Amino acid sequence: MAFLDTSTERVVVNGVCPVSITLAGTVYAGDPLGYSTGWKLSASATTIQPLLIAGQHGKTGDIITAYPAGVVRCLVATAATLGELTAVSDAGLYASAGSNTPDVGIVASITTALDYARVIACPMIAQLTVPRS
Amino acid sequence: MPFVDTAIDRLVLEGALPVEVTLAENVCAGDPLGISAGNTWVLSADAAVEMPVLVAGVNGISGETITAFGMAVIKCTTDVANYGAVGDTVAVDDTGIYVPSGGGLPDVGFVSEVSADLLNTTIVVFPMVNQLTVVRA
Repeated sequence: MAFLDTSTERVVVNGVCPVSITLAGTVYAGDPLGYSTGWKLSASATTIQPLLIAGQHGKTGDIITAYPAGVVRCLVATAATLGELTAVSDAGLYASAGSNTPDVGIVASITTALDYARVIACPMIAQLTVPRS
Repeated sequence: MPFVDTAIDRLVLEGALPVEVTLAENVCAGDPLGISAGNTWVLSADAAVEMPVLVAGVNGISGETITAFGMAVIKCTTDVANYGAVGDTVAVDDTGIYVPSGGGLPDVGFVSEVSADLLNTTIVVFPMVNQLTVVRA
């Protein structure tokens, strides 16, 4: 069964290295954010690769706190597997990693009832690939 | 001088991205943790199947729930024959100890400091990082 979160009831349990950003769209706490003519939900990763995690809700023009790395509790639509590699789908949802969705983290814990999963995510990592040759 | 930690007396100096995990075997603070074939948290002692993902924040026994970190600074005990060199890339070997990078072992961090008596090597690790490889094409 492939992990898929619902995008509702996300809680940012922990975040590090906070930054303040101005939004160019409506976002919810825990959303993966990318930059394309402004910070917005990374809903089409082709052009809006995930970089940050929204620390709070906000709408266009709002300044919110976001994190480059965080622990996000997700309400699960389809159960996760412990340790599962997690990516962001083109709908801006945390989901099982695939061949063409950007990896952002791993599933660190799952509730006994399988209804919530905690994901450790650091969205920018997969894009940092080039060492000095 | 190749860095090899002794796996004893490790000290987790700092930890970021804390999560609660339930252990399926005994671990010590600073141990790299991976997921076993049975989908449980264990010492990453065979990285081919138990890729390191987290760092144990405290000692724990099988069945116990402990705090683990996605990223951490760990002071490792070494000896004068096996101290690290600052800046060395650090990996996890198949016995679950921190060693120099290479030989197909998973990189997890780098050496940030070596004590003057050469008996302690401090490393900064973020084990999951090299598993996050796919970007949207």
